[in-house]
Amino acid sequence: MKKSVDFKKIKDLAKKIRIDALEMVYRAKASHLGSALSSVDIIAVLYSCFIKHDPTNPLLKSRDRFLISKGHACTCMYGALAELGFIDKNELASYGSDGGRLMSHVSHKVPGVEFSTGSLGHALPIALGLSLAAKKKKKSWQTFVLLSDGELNEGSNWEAFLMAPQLKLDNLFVVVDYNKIQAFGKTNEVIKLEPLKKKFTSFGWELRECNGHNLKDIYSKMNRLVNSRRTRPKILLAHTIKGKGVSFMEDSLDWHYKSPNEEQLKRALSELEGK
Amino acid sequence: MRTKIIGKLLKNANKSNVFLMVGDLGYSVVEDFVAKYPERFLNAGIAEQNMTGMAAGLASEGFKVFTYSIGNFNTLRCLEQIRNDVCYHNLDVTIISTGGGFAYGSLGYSHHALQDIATLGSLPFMTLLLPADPVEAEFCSEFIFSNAGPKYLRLGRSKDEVVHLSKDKIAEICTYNQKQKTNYALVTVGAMLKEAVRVQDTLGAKTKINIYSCPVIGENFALNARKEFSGYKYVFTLEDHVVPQGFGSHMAKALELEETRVISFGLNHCSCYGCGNQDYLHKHNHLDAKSVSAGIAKIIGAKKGK
Repeated sequence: MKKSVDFKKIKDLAKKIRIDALEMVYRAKASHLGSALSSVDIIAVLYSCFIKHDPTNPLLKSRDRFLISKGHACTCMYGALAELGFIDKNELASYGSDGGRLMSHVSHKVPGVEFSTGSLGHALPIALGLSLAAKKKKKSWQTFVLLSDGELNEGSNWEAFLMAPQLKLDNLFVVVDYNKIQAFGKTNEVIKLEPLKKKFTSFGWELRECNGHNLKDIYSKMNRLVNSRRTRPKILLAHTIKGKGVSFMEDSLDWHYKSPNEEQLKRALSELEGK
Repeated sequence: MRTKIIGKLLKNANKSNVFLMVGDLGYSVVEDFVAKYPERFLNAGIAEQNMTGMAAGLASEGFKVFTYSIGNFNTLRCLEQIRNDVCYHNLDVTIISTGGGFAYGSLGYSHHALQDIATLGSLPFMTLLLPADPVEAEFCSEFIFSNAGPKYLRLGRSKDEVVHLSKDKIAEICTYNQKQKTNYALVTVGAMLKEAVRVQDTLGAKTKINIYSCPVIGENFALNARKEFSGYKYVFTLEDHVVPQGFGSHMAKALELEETRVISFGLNHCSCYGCGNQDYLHKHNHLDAKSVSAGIAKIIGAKKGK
């Protein structure tokens, strides 16, 4: 493992994003906080170590393309973009409000967002198009996509899972945020996903599994995928916990929908600050 | 018409960075393109949602992308990908569909494209291209290569005959015949121009009616339609498509502040059951020249009597 990776800094970034997400959802009385908290550590590692980006030039031609397919978890994306300097942090206060651009599903009107998402099952096919474009134009930039587990119900994803190995898209990196809860139940009770690992490998993807909240593990497994020479698309199955970081929100379907009241916000912030 | 379009793709492939995707269709149509530009062709398989999402991704990186399939497959099956990924991002993707209306008649309603104008016509930045014959298809091809953004090209069958008498009058709204001084216009899209010519013959010389077709329904349509049609008392529209939100609705909207009455001939919601070729299904659904002529005569006659 590279010594240059500053996990303390990544941990701090993740903490800030979690606080941003909490405050946004609290102010807007919005939903999907659990989904956002689930993805924070993955996003913090991806932006810190893998996604080539320039906040001063969001459309830099050589940037890596990052798509968040679980567009409902937008607060972690907007939080990350603010912490990284793509947007002014003060703008987060306008989240979900009239006339603002921070709508409650990821919007491409926001610098740093490649494509709007929100309807599930859209980003992976788009990512195949991006990856294919890079191949055709002989560009070295790469495409990263963050999928939820619930959206693996969508057939469009499986069309793309079939096609990507056929096209040998080894410049495509998917992370599945596998928190095992979807909008109205446990993923394996709604539509059984398991054996998920076997499904992906049998389709021809190169797969690694990780603890989606262990920064070193996320980094280590993604690093192996990024440095792999196999001409296959890559997928990281990240085992996560919905609502991660706030004890009373963890592994709970309720926090797919609820927004914290003032007292809950205080408790949550206190936990995150380690007080 | 398909040959014209593919010919145009081949001609423009290099300068316009054309990328052609097909949904496991295109036998005897796309082979020349594949042979010449294999690196910019992809059979995306029977997976139209993925094909359309990929098209959006490719277009966002500068390719001029075409998706090709039968009428309803690369339209209705993947409508949300067209709306969210292509249209809301205003990307240069042209959806080419064959079998518009009842063109694939006996294949059954699964292969009829009868709601495509309504659905795709409601999407942001979308231009509808509805050629009547190979001459209009040529005009639509020019339009495609002169304009970026989402476009829907609705073609008929492989052997559509030439209907227009001359290429000179082809425009976004074009007249078929020499314009006469009359209160009546019959305005068509796609394959119905052929039927409209027969309507004119059936009505006879005593009833003067001007025949039009509209190969392009885009941002200029309402303005052009007001200019061209507001002088008429009656504008009859004719389409091989359901009436609700179809071509007639575009016309009615364009003329809503005018005194012109717009009367639409098209299909009812449940008009697509049963087997038959295109002509049979037109007749069965009262879109044949005889039925449309009778409908027009009844309205004109009733009005004259008052």
